[in-house]
Parts: sequence; structure tokens; C-alpha cells
Amino acid sequence: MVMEELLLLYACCIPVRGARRSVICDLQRAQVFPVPNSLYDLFDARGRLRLSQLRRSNTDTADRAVLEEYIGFLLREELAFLCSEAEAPRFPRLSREWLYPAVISNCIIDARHTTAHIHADLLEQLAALCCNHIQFRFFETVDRYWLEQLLDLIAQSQVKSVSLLLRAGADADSEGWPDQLLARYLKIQNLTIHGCKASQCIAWARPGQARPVWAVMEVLSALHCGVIAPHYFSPNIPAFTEALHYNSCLNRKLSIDAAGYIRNCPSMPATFGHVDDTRLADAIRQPGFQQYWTLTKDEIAVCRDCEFRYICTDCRAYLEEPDNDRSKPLKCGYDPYTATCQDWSSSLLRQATFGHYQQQTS
Amino acid sequence: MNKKKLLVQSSSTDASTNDVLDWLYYLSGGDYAVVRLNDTGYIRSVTVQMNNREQRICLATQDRELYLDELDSRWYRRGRLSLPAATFTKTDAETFALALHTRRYVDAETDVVCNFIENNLDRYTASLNRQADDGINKLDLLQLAAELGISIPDTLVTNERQALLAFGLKYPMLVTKSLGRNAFTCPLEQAGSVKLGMGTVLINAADINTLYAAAGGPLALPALYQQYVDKQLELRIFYLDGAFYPMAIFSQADARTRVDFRHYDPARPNRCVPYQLPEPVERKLDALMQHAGLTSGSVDMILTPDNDYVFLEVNPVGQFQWLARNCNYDIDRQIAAYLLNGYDDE
Ligand code: SF4
Repeated sequence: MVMEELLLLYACCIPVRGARRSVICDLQRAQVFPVPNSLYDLFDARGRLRLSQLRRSNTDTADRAVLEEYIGFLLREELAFLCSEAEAPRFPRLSREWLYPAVISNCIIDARHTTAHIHADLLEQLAALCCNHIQFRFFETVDRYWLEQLLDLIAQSQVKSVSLLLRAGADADSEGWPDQLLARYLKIQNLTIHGCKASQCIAWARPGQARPVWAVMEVLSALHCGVIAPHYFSPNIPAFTEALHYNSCLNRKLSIDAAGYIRNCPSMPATFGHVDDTRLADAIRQPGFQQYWTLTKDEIAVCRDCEFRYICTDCRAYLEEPDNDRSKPLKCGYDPYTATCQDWSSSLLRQATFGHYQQQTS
Repeated sequence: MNKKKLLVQSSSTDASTNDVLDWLYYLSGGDYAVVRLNDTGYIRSVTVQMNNREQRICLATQDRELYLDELDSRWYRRGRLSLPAATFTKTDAETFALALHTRRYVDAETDVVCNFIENNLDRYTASLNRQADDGINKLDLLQLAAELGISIPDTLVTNERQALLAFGLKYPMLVTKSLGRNAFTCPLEQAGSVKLGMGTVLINAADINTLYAAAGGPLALPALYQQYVDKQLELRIFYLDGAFYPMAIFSQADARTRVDFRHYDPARPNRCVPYQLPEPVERKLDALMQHAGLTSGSVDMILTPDNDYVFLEVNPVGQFQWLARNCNYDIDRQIAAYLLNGYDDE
């Protein structure tokens, strides 16, 4: 008896089919491999390809050559391995559950410069929601002394990581200050300084340093969000499993805008009370707050046919059709029907739509 | 209202501890208080009171007093209970010897108290792992595994040259590794410290001949030698209270992918995927853990090219974060649930 030979995808290499082509998401090595749909279709639902059977049925030399090329590629990239029918049950698939122990996974707090909305009680409320990651975005120059007081408060809290956006000017872009901040406050994971002078627009990103400092020339606002491009893709297990079940942008997110209003997303119009009179825990239970949390890419027009749908960050704030809350994100230039990509802002139609959003906020 | 109390003994840098605590907090809605003793923070003082009416044991740390009978559960993860060390100044050889013996005496006194506290922690709390697990005897476990019918590598412990030579003739490739600790840290007079250890080392016939040729009686230390076992897969298995979380490591990628040349490349780590152990192997491992009195631990095994499951060792306080993340296993959540259920059952 001939042992049936199988080619089995490693459990962390998950194929996703799109309209025109497929990808294999390598969630261990954080890589994405585009592959033809014809290759996707060779695998069964458990990621198995019956090698001996295929070889027997593909007797045509041209087909056979293509098949062997596919197999060579999968083995070379270590996306799949050979095993026997008997061994296959020893290799179960990866659990698709999203494991994340928090009511709120992270919170964006916006401010112009100093703000009275960030205080010890607010941090305690965030702690009660298990929120361990905070991003502060300061759109105007912030007082150094005040900021350091805030970071001192955070240093003693349960918060695990802080991401900071600072506006250049005063101290922020002076040589040395970012280094001092990073050295003194270990919870700062990354620091971006926006509005740097052209002459100072050096990319401060240090290769190999896990806590980068970026200097950017642009002056940023809450409108600078929602851009979808391949370098924002996250081919890893937490992001992939979240996207399978939840909205990859809004799920378990919380934000407080510069005026102190509580929102799910800083770029979306809906507010759910003010931090002065509403507890965060009450705000997130209000009708509508979690409206989009379970809206997956499988329910969004165009995205549902896109092979990147489980590694792509969604955006519900800027939509291709502003009146259709299940339409594709505006700031994505990828077309899954042709498998081609263009810069989203190069399209006149998309620019016009973005103009509509800009008017709304001004 | 009094919150439930959980005592966690760990090191401040152990990421797995934080992950489990996040789950504990999330699952319980914050309805418990964690008292964390880190190896870096000493217990300031201990008080044991005992009479025919009551017993009270109190530990004081830098910032709080902790009564053992108020604890609901306990998780031992890392470190040792320790009291501030008495210091002795060594000036000359004689006082040095005196200081050494005084030191031993003092340590023995302190150990009695610390062990007593350990025993009480076991008695009164739902406990996941004990400090004693950390010092579990590797040879005891190998013996136990063999007795339970689990394959083990052919093993020799000796400081006898002749015995080693004979063993080396039988197996062209041997491995040796430490019996007790993998490494130790030695403080330096001037600054800092050095960490010394060797991990698992391969030795061959030439190495043994060199050892043998050196003149003298028995070798300095009885050491562990094992037959080198060929691998199809390496298995790392986390065990928790009867449940298995196995991961297969494709460290021998060439055999399966027929790619016969591999550069070491951090961007291409070995494939690590969930694995399903055969039921008989699970049953025997479960018996092993129960006999050894371990509620949790990481088991190292090898699947040989002949499909034999060979037991190497158990690390009772091993890292499981790597395993959980690669396989998307909910180990952190299960440990948290175990610690929470501990006090529900009472
Ligand atoms: S089409 Fe949708 S899923 Fe695909 S890249 Fe664009 S936004 Fe992401």
C-alpha cells in the first residue's frame, strides 16, 4: 500500500482567498505571500494538499510543471511541510480565538497643549477597564513641566505603554530632550514630533532601537488617520484573530478628544458624554458606543473580496461612500478585483470625498 | 468590602507573570488584590505566633504587612522567600572561616522559618506551584518517567572514567547537562556580576578520550551523560492541572522540507506550531506530573524519526509565553482561572 503523502501548511501560515488572487499570511514570521487562486484551491479547509493524488491526476506536463513549481515555493519558503496521512491529525490548526484580557485595549487622548481632562481619577478609570496602552496626541506645543508631571503619574500607574505625539517648538525639538524623556520614562514606546522645521526634519528613527523617535515635517491633526497601506498591515496572530471576529480599528477602543468628550474613535463624529460628568465605564455601555466593534471586513463592501482583509486595519471614519457605513475605507488605494494598488490620494474622486470630511470638522 | 487576596512570588522582570495578572484582573473584574513578592524585594520581617488557641504568621514587606491566613490563593513563579542577610566582614583567614561557619548556622536558622512559611502557604491557600518545585530533582523525574513506561534516553551519571569510556563506546554522540541549576550568578568584588553556566553540550568519543587520558583518579564531579537522541521534532509541552498545551518545534527543517541547507536567520525562526500528543503519551505524562506533585510545568520531549516520544526533562517554572504566543493557546487565562477558582472551591 502506498502511503498518501500530504503537503500541510504550518498552522501559523493561513491562506486567505481574494477576488483576483490569494495570500498566505505567515503569522509567525510576519510575512505575506501573494499566491494565485489556483494554488489556494488546491488546499482543503484544513490546509492540506493531497500530493500523491494531485500528481497522479496532473499528467499533463505543463500542469505538472506548474504544480511542482508551487510545491517548491511552499517548501522553500517553509510555508508547508510534508507529512503522511497518519501523521496529519498530530498537527491541529491554530485556534482562531482572539485572546485579549481587556475591556478597552487602548485609548487615544487628544489635547491641544495642557489639558485638565487627564488626571489621576481618569487613569484609575482606565485601569478598571484593563486599559494598559495610551496614546497622547498633542496638536500644539506642550509645556514641558506639565507633560513630565503627567508622565510621572503614569509611571506609577498600571499603564504599560505610552505613545506620544508632540508638536515641535519650545522644548520638543531641541536636541537631547527626546532622549531625556525616553531615558526617564521607560513606558514611552514611541515618540513622534510633528511640525518640525524643514531644516530639522531628520528622521530620528534609530535603527535597531525598539523605542523610536520620529521627527516629521507635517503638522498633524485628528484627520491624519485611517490611511491603509501595506506597511500598516499586521500579519500576526493577535491582529489576525481580532480581525476575524471584530472590527480591526474600533473594537475595544476608547478616545477622549481635545475638548474632553468621550468617543470610540477620535475621527468619528459620535460622542458619548464628557469626562467631567460621565464615567468611562458608563460611556462605553451607551447605545452606539460599541456599534462597530463586531463589524468585520467580511461585511464591508470590496474589503470582503480582498485577500488582505484579516491583516488590514479598518477605518470607519473616512469612507468611500460617506453615507454607507459598510463601504470601503476611503484612504485605501487597493483594488482587489484587479489586484492593483494606487496611492489613495492620487484619485480625484477620493480627494473630493476627503474634502467633504475636512469641511465637516472645520 | 475586603477584596480576595492573591500572593504572587515572582521576579519583577517576568513577563509571563504580568500577562497572567492581566487575565486575573479582567476575569475577576478587579475583585481581588495582588500582593506580589519580587525576588528584588526582601521580606523585612517575619513573625510566627503559636499557642493552643491560635496561630498567626505575618510577613512584612517594605510597604505592607501580610497575614498568611488572609490569603486566598498563591502562585509561586520565581525566586525564594528570603530575609535580609546578616553581613560579616572578613579581615583575615581565621575570621573568614569563622564568618563562613556563622553564615551557615544563620542560614540554617533562617531556612527553618522560611520552610515553615512555605509549608503553611501550601496548607492554607489554593497554590499553583510551590517553591520546592523549583529544586525538583532531575534524576528523580527521569527514574519516575522510566518506571511509568515513558521512553528516556540511555542515561549515565558517574565520575568514573572507565564507566564513561564504556558508555562513549556504546554511543558515538553524547550530551551532558547540569543536574541542578542551569547557571549561577556570581557577584564580583568591583562591579556587577557574572553569570556562569553551560546548558546542554554535545560530546563525542574524542572528548571522552581526552578526559580519559588525563591522569588521576575519578573525575571531579559526578555528571549526567545521555545518549544523543535523533530528532524528527522537538516538543515543548506546557502542563496545567491535567491539561496539555504541546508545541512542535521544527528544528530539523531539512528532513521535512528537503531544504538541506539552513542559515541561521532571526527573521526565519524555527517553525513552532500546535501539536496533538497521542493519548497514551498524555496519560503517562499526566501520571508523571501527579506522582511528582506538580500542578504545572513545561515538559521537554523529542519525537524521534522512529516515532518514539522520548522524555528529556520537566521545568516546573519554565517560560510558557513563547509557547502560548506561537500556538495561540490560552495558557495565561487558564492559569488565572485556576487561581481564581482556588478560592471559590473553599
Ligand atoms: S480593500 Fe479593504 S481590506 Fe483590502 S487593503 Fe483596502 S481597506 Fe484593506
